[in-house]
Amino acid sequence: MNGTDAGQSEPLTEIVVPSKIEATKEPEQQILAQVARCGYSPDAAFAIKLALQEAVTNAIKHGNRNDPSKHLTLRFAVSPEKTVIAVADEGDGFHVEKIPDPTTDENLECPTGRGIMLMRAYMNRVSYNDKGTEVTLVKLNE
Amino acid sequence: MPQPHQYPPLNVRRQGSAVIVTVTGCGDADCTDQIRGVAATLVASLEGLLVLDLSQVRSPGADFLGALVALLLRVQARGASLKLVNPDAELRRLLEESRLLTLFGVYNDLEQALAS
Repeated sequence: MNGTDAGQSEPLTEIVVPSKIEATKEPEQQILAQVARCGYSPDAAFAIKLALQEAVTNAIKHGNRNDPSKHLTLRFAVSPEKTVIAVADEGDGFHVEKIPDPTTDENLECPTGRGIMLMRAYMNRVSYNDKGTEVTLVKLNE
Repeated sequence: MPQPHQYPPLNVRRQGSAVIVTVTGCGDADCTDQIRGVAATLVASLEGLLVLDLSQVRSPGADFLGALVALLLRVQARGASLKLVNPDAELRRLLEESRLLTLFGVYNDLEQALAS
């Protein structure tokens, strides 16, 4: 199924999967195969894989609270210029600004909360919808 | 009644008072489970130094980093120490980006870790 995203001119492919890590592997492979075909560097491909996995993990664990009856919606477009991936869950949402920064001295020894930080470190843009149920990741092919 | 979690087998050897664990695995869940296995099965009897050889870890993520931090805290609570050996370039960058190089001693090889 194809659709479009506000602010995203290219059509996005949409895939809905059960809220389980193993169910996300096929769309992940599909995205990474397109990334490889579009000539992204190994570093960029690694960044996209890492950020996608963190987004999916967050959606399953924190969004859908490990409920396998819920679903994830992945929408993506990969072009030679950029990769756009959106991951949506069926949870109640959250406010990203309320998530503590795990790189500050006071939070450094906290065992959780590094997924969002890693997405931001490796992607060019990371944004959330107002409800906090969908994250959009953008990586430029620089 | 829930079954206790089954951790994967660990590759453990001892050199003097140091316990050396070679962590293997590909993907965040796989690698993380091994670190949690170390915390659950080895820390209680640890005396001195725990070394994690990370040269065979591939594609870890945030959960792996969190498990390393949790392990470090448990090791330190026992009065022991934890050293990391030979992470690949991707893992080293993860540690850098998350500022965890300020918490962990990271060494290029086992001899260096044991000697320091």
